[in-house]
Amino acid sequence: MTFISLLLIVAVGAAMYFLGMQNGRKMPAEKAAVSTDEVVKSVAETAASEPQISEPATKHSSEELPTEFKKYKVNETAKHGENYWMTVLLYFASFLVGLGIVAEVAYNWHNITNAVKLVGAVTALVGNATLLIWCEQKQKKVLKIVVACVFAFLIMGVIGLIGQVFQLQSNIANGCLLWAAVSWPLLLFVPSLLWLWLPLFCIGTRMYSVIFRDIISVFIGQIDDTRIQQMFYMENVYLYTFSAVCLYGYFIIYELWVNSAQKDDMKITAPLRFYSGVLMMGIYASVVETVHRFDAVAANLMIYVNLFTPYLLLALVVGGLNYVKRRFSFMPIFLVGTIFEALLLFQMHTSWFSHTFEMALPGVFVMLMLFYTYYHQMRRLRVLATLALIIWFGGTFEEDIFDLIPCLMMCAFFAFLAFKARNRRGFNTAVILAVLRILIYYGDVDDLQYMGMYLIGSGILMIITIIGLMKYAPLLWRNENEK
Amino acid sequence: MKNKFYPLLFLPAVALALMMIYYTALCNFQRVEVVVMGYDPKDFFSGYYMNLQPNWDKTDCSQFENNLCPQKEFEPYYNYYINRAHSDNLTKKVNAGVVKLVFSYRKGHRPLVTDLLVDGESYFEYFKER
Repeated sequence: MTFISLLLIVAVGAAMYFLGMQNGRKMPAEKAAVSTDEVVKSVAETAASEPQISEPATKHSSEELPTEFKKYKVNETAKHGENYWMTVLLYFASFLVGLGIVAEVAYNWHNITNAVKLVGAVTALVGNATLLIWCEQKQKKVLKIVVACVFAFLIMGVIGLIGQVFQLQSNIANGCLLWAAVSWPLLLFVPSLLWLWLPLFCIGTRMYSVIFRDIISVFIGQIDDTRIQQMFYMENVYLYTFSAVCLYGYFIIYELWVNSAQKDDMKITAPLRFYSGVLMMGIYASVVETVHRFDAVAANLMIYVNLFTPYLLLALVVGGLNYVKRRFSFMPIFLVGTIFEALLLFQMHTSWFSHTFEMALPGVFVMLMLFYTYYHQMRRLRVLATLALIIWFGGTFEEDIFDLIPCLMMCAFFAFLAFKARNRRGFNTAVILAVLRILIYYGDVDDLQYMGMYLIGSGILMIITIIGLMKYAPLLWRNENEK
Repeated sequence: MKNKFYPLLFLPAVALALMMIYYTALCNFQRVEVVVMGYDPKDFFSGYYMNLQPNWDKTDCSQFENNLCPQKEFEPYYNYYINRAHSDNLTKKVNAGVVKLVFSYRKGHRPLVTDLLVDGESYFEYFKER
């Protein structure tokens, strides 16, 4: 099944490449040659056709704008689009609904017969596909994103359901690979869904795996010669080779996608970088936690080498690519991650961290959010953003709802300030933080059934709110401007 | 322009339906029962399950060819997905050694778990009656 899934994915990559070529889309070099005036024109056209959150630069003609501001605004808008953050939030809301579906499936409804479950699952898939086609035909752009994202998670849920009904003994990585193999058509309709597809594909191919035993069982377990099996260093050779091949494949897919993407799809690159980085760091944090559980192994210096060598290799590769093409920017994320993990490792046996090592994963997320805030030049509210993040971070690890409320209040205060300052990015960041905090609170709910219901309910509520914000917030902020 | 891609959206439904049919067919091999021992962990993606290890010393090997238990064809442990309401009671039964995993078995194929028996009865029915 793994081999077939991989073959399918390679076929998809090739098909996407040729489709892109046949449609006569521009190659990166040609895209780079597009003049600034053309970009200004295209941004103005895009902006005119979409609802705006704050006052757009495109309200002015390109001649009226100061050169530096024009360059900055054009660059920002071309990279993210005016509704960039709201779109990210929309994905997140859909993500909540999707997680809810997965949780509901995981609850294991024994009162419902297997036949009903399976037929219901296929019907839901067909229904969702039909709804997506309807959205495409009726040009419902926002709803299309929601439906596609929920569809993606529904596929994941159905894969989980099959595993549950037939008591399959597969692991999560195999499930991810199967998901990547069957869900790729969604990318043809909502290209920006790549932020989800690519990381899961990478998990499926075990690109992130450094010391996972699965890899060893796949490669070394096939060899009957015990002498080879006993050679521990051979594991590393296989692991690094496989990781390097996957990494190389990752960049090829990325390049293929950029080559075949339309101009307005270029905004996928920013979330792609961010989410891939977050996921990669998250997985590494899990690896650190695994190491922690094996004290005998943790004492081995090789583990440190195992953990940091891929980082260094990746940093070198990315650095090299940046030097040549100046396109990738994983480097800062790797560096922050490396420093953070170094701290984690050295604090592993100290009292303040040893009991709550699960902190590693959300801790990395916080670090990345913090870094991301600075990276994207949120000048006006940096201090407040930092404060909100620290409070969120502190409140995250307590199960009691009384620790949740202050954090949400802080986010609300931050959002209010950002709104008054007409800082769209600050406003959206505050909303994201609040959502993340709520999500982590859900993580503490013990019953999967209720957790799923909460997640689905919150997701739907959030989708409605975001659609409302996208529709009415620009009007509010415009009024604020006029005053 | 994208009309020609519309059928592709039904690929997940078709592929997963085929997978369901395939596994349904695999469930119809010889039925064998293996005594198990284990515990009940939980995770978000898999839901509630019992981690069960075949106990070959207590398993009736006469149900296999040549009265030999083909241990190598089975995994060292299996995850059996259960309903949360029954996990505590089931753990007690597993510890008492009266729980068996039912497999659909054919030599050369990976055995597929089809049921979990408590005192010879499907576990869900067993707890439902009590």
